[in-house]
Amino acid sequence: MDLMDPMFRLILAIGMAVPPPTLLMVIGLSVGVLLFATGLGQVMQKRAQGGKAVKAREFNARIKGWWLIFGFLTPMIFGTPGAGVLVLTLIAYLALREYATLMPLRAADRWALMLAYLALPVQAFFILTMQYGFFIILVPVYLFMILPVAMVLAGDTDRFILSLGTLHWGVMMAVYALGHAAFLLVLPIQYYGDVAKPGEGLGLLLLLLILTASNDVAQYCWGKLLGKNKIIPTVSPNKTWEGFIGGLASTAFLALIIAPFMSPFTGIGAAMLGAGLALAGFLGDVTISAVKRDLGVKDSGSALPGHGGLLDRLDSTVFTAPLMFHISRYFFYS
Amino acid sequence: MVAPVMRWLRLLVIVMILRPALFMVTGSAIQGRHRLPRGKRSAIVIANHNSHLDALVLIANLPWRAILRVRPIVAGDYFANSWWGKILVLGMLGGIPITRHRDGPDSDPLAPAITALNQGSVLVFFPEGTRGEPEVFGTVKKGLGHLVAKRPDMLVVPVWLANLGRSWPRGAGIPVPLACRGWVGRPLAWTGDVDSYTDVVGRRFRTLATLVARDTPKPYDLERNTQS
Repeated sequence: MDLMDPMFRLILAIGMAVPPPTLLMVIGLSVGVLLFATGLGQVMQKRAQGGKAVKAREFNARIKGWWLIFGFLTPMIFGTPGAGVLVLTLIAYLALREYATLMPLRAADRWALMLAYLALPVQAFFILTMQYGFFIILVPVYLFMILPVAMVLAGDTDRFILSLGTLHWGVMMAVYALGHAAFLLVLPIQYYGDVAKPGEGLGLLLLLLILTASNDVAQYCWGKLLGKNKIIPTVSPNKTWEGFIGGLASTAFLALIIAPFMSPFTGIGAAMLGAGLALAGFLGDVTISAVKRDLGVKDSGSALPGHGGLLDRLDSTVFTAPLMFHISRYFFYS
Repeated sequence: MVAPVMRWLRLLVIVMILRPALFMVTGSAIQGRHRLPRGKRSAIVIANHNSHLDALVLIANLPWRAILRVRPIVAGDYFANSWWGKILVLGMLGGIPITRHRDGPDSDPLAPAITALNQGSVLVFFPEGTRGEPEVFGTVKKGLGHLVAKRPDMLVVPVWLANLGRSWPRGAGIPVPLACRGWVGRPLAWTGDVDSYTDVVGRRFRTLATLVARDTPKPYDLERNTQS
């Protein structure tokens, strides 16, 4: 690894960068959708009465949450890949903190938890220096061995396995899975070097986020419209086959249209990507639902109005990010 | 009274450094902030005590006018005997050291607190007197009652803070990041005598605790899902 290499200068420079015009178009379109939803919410709230007014208020809170997410992502959209990696690391940190707060960890787990937090800057370093090999083994090999050692050295064996599993799952979601999203930003530079098209990594990441979010919304809408046959009623009573299939078809269609503007995916490949992300998003959603159900909480936190906590919003991204990363890497960047 | 320059400097440090640092470590999910003292009157902010973070979180979340006049009441035997306590707690945060026991029949350990209130300060006071076991509410000591008895018109605002004892419990070297949850209650009225006031304060804290616990998960029960 030679940090003087021009391609590292592309990443290690933390600053502003204007996305390419095609990406700006898609970003503008997303803002347009949000503006439309905001206007719709205002009209709904003016006209609605009684029970509908409550629904309208919930809808507006949700839209406000989306604006908040957009605001959070702005420094990533208009920043260099390095700045984007830092923004995503900060989000991952807040998600891990939310998870650790929710989980009943023992007093003996303090040092292990501290090490889990410290894995974030280490992982960010491996992403920024594009060391794929170290990035991919950091959490599932080394952190997974260091965490039990930290717990054992604390000397408390009571509920050791339970605590360990709890913490492992937390770093898997918040550190490792979200790390894949961050690595998307530097993936093209790692492959093409300094001749990579500017903003290509950002395009991959935005494609992931837009497809994941719209799949969540589409599954919800199709489920409300046609939903009848529940998939796993004991975990998530609102998830139906109709919603799932409708969401999958919508996401595949959306990917078919927007993916060529922001990524190397085109045609049938783009549609397959959309379908795969829809399936992964659904699985992530129900998995985090099961976690919350086990703990007896409705929301994982209160960071985003109308959405609950960060993990409530990131639930599907946790599963879609690694999939997006490996599909992109396998077909275009290896 | 602390010199005005020092007070503004302290406000700057608290708003520019302490607030962002605490936002990263504990977050700021505190409900009912509008009930915290914001005018120019003196006031007492009371809270349950689990961690050194309690006082820091309370001070950092106060409105800026109150931060200018804030004086935490701290244990003299603990903080006034170490160099770091003198610099950080007594110097930087303007802590008022008091002795936690009576030296003789005529001595009044709370005299410095009364003086500060008369000068218009906002006191931060922990009625339990000590951090105790992490996340366990101890008993309300009568010190608060004796203090308010001298100034019955005083604005007393109770705050319940959850999770900070997990984040930085007694005996732990450094805090580990965990989101804090808090609830600011309505001001407490003086009841007429120290004993009943102490009861009312304890009951109010328990009510606030249930409000915070409503959206906090219960401790995981390993036996709950096993089949018998």
